[in-house]
Amino acid sequence: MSMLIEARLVRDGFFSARLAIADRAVIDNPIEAYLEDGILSKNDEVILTWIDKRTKIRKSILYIDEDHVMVTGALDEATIRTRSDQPPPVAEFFLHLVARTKNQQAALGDLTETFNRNCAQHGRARATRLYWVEALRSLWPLFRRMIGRAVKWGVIVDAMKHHFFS
Amino acid sequence: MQLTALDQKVMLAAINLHPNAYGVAIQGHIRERTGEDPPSIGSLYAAIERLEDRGFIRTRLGEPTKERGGRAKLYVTVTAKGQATLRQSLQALAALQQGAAGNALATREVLA
Repeated sequence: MSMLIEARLVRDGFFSARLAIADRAVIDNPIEAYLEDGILSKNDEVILTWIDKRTKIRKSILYIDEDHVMVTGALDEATIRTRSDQPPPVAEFFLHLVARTKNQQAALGDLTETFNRNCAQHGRARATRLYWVEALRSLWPLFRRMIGRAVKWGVIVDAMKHHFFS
Repeated sequence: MQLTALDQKVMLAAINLHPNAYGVAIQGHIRERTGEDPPSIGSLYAAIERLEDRGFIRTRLGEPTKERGGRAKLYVTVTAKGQATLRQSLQALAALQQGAAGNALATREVLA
């Protein structure tokens, strides 16, 4: 079992965390936390993600020992400065350019919802990749729609100019 | 009035999911029922706007939620006009399928 949990560093060397499984907060301090029956079992692997004071995202793997959780050390130090529940800003920016109508803003909401679901299921890295794939697939249809509308209105304005002012 | 295959899928999904048909749900429904890759969100919303312009569907915005980055869901409902057009379109497709099935049978008999 592998899952993603988030914790915020309270002060150097210590952090508090809440591991939520099925809406139940299980672990309040992962370093010393004891397991509750039926939630985690021996040899389960938990990936802990926490945000330090410089808002850098850090990751550790927690191994479940006989009856408590052990932190085995930092895996890597990402330089990502965005919150983990936000989709990649560059992809979102491109979509903003072509999603002009109120309805299309709902499309961005759908992508964010899918991103958050993927984050919980597969982790942020894969969720980010999937978001980019979906964003790139979506750009062309939205762009074509935007051009189509512009051309339609251009034709109407041209026709009115021709009819009334020529 | 012509409906594309995507239009048909979107309208059928909207009817099946009523009253909770919105982008992600429609995508999931198409994936689940057809086993195909669902259309991208961009294609889906382009189709929704096109169908709305033609009066085949009606849309309403729901409440914005945090998990959607503060954006609202766009719920889709198929209108009576849309249902009639969809029925015609599917009947035409079924008639074509019957013709194709008949021809395939005749070809098989000739070959035998």
